[in-house]
Amino acid sequence: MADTAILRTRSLLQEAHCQTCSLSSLCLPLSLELKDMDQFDAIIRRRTPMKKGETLFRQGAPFTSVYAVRSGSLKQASTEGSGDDQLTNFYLPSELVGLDGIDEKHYAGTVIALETTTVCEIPFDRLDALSEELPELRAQLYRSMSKEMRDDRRMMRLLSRKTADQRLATFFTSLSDRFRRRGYSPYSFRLSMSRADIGNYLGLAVETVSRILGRFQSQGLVAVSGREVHILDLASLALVADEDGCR
Amino acid sequence: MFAQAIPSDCAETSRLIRELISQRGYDICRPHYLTYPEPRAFSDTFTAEDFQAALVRGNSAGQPLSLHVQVPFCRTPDSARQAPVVDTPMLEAYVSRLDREMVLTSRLLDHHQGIHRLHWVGAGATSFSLDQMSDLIDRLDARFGLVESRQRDYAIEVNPRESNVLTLRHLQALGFNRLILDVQDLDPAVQHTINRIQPRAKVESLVDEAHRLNLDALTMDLRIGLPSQTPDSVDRTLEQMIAMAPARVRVIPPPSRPRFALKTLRHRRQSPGTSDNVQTLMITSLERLVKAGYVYIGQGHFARPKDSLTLAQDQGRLAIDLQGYAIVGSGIQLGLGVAAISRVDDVYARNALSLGGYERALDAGRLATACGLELGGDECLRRDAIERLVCDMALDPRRLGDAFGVDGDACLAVLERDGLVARQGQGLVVTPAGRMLLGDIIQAFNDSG
Repeated sequence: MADTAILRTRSLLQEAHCQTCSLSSLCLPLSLELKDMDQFDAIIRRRTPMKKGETLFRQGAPFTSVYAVRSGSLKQASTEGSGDDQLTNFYLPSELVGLDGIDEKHYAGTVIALETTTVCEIPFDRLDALSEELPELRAQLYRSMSKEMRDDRRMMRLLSRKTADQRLATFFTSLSDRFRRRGYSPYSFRLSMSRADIGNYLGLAVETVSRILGRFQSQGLVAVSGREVHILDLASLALVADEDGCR
Repeated sequence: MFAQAIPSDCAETSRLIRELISQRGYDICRPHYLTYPEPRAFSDTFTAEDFQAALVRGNSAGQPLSLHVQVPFCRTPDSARQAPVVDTPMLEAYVSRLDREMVLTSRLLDHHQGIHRLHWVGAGATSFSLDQMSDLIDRLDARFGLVESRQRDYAIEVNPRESNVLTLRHLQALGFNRLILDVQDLDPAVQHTINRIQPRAKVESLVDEAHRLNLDALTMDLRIGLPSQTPDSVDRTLEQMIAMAPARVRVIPPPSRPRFALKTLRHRRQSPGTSDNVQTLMITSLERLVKAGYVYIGQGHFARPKDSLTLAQDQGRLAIDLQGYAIVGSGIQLGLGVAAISRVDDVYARNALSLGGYERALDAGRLATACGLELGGDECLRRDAIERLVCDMALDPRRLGDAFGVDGDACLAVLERDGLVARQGQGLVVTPAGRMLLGDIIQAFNDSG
C-alpha cells in the first residue's frame, strides 16, 4: 500500500518533466535532443490539476502562454456577436491549447476542463525565444500550427456539407484516430464531453445526436454506454463519414 | 408539349387571360384540383366500415402505399393559415392519436412494400418537437415500414418561422428528402399583417442548408390574396424567391371562402378588397416566374426545365395525387390526422374536420372517417379523364367522349372558342392560356359531368 503510494508520487514527479513524460514523443519536445529538452523543460510552468468545469482562460483575456494537455481533456467555446456559445474545439492529451491567440494577443475562446485535467503552461515569449535557438523546436511548433489549420479546414468541410450521420461518424472516426496516435485504444474510449457539447460542436440538435447514436448502435457500428464508447465497426463508420450526402 | 412555347407568348397569353377574366367571367383563383368530385360532395353516410372495406380490397391488389400526415395546427398564431394554436403536450396527444389511427389502418394493409411517398403537411408539420418528430417517424416505420430507396419521396412542409438549420439537419436524419418551404410572402409589411415575421435572411439560411443536405428538390410556396399584398410587394417577394433559385415554386390562390372574414378590422381594411386585384396578382406572379425560366406545370406548380416534374410531364407520365403532382403513381393514398383525405382505388374517405371529432372516434377505437364516397363507373371515367388532362395538358378525344358524352362536346366548343383548348391532330391540347385557367376547364367538365 505504502509502496504503491510512493511509486505513484514518484511517477507523478517524473511525469512532470518532459524527459520522462510519456507524451513527449507527441508533444512539442518531440524532436529535441536530451540536452535541449532540459532547456525546454526549464521554461515550463507546472500547474496543479484542474477540476472538471474549471476555466483555463477566458475568451478575450491577454494571450501569454500556450498549454500542452498532459492528461484529461478540455473544450473551447467561442461567443460571437449573437451571444450563443459555439464549441470550437476539444483538446486531448499532448495537444496544444491557445495557439489561435498568438496573432491577436488575446485568447480566441474560453477553455474549460471537461474532467480532471493537467496541463503544462508554456509562456509564449520564452517559447518564442527558445525556438530561435532550437530549430527543431521551431519546426515542431510550425507543425502543430499547421495541423491545427488542417483540422480546422476539415471541421469547416464537415460543418458546411455533411449530413448529421456523416458528422457524427466523422466525429467518432477522428476521435478514434486521435486516440490511436496517442497510443490509446482506437476502439474503446471515454467521451468526456456531454451529448449537448457534441451537438454544439457538430452543429446538431442534441435530439439529433441521440437519434443517430441510437441508429449507429442498432446498426452495430458502435456500442455506447454512458460515456464509454466502443467502436465495433470502424471501417463501416468511415464509410458513413465519407458518403456523398444523400442516403 | 406546350411548356416550351409559353415564354415567347407570355405577354400575349396574359392579355388573353385578362380579357377572359374581365369579359367572360373566368377565374384564375379557383382552388386546385384535389379530388373528383370535390370533397364537399362527399357523403356523410359513408362510414368507417366502408373505408375499412375499401382498404381490404385495395390491400389485396398489392398496391404501393403513399401516406400523408395532416398537422393543421400551429405553435404560434398565424392568421394566414388560421390554424389552431397548440403546445407540446397537445402535439404529444396528437402523435398518440395518429399512432392509433396507424394501428387501425396498418393491420388491414400488409401487401405493400413500405411507404414510398410520405408527406407531412399542414401549418404545424414542423411544430412538433424534434423528439416528437423522431417518435412519429419511428411509429410510421413500425406500423408500415419506411424505405431507404432513393426513389422514395419523403416531403415535409416547413414553416420557416418555426425552423432553423438544426431542424433541417434533424429532418434529413429522419429520412426526409424533400422540403416544401411555406414562405407565403417575403414583404415585411405583409408578414407583419399576417403575424409571421420571417426575415429573408432566415429563409435564405434554410435554403442554403437544404442545398448542403442535398435536399435539392426544394419547393417554395407563395400565397396570393394575403392582406397588404400589392403588385409591387408580390413582385419584390418573387424577385427574392427567384434569387434563391428553388427547384419548384407553388403559387397558392386565396381560399374560395374569404379567409379573413372573421379577423380584425385591420385585416379587412387592408385586404386586397376586390377580387380583380387578386386576379391581377395571380397573373403577374405566373408571368414573372415563367420569365425567370420556370416551366408552368399547372395548378400553380412551377418547376425548372430539368426538374423531374417537368421531364415527367414532357414524357406524359406525370401523375397527380392528394399532395399534388407526382412522378410516380401513388397506389393506396392514406391520410392520417384531422381532416385528412384518403383515396383507395375508387373510394375517397375523409376524417373528421374537428380535432374533437377526430379524437373521440379514435379514443373509442374507431377510425375517424366522417364522410366519403365510392365512385361509380362513369364517375371513375370522368375522374381519370380530368386527371389525365391536369397532368398531360392534353386529352385523347375518345377518352373525353367516353367520360362526358355529348355534354363534353358542348363544353369543349365553348372552351375552344375562348382559346383555352385547341385541337391538334386527333388530340385535344390545353393552350398556354388554358393552362393558367385550368380550374375553369375542370369546372366546365365537372358541370357537364
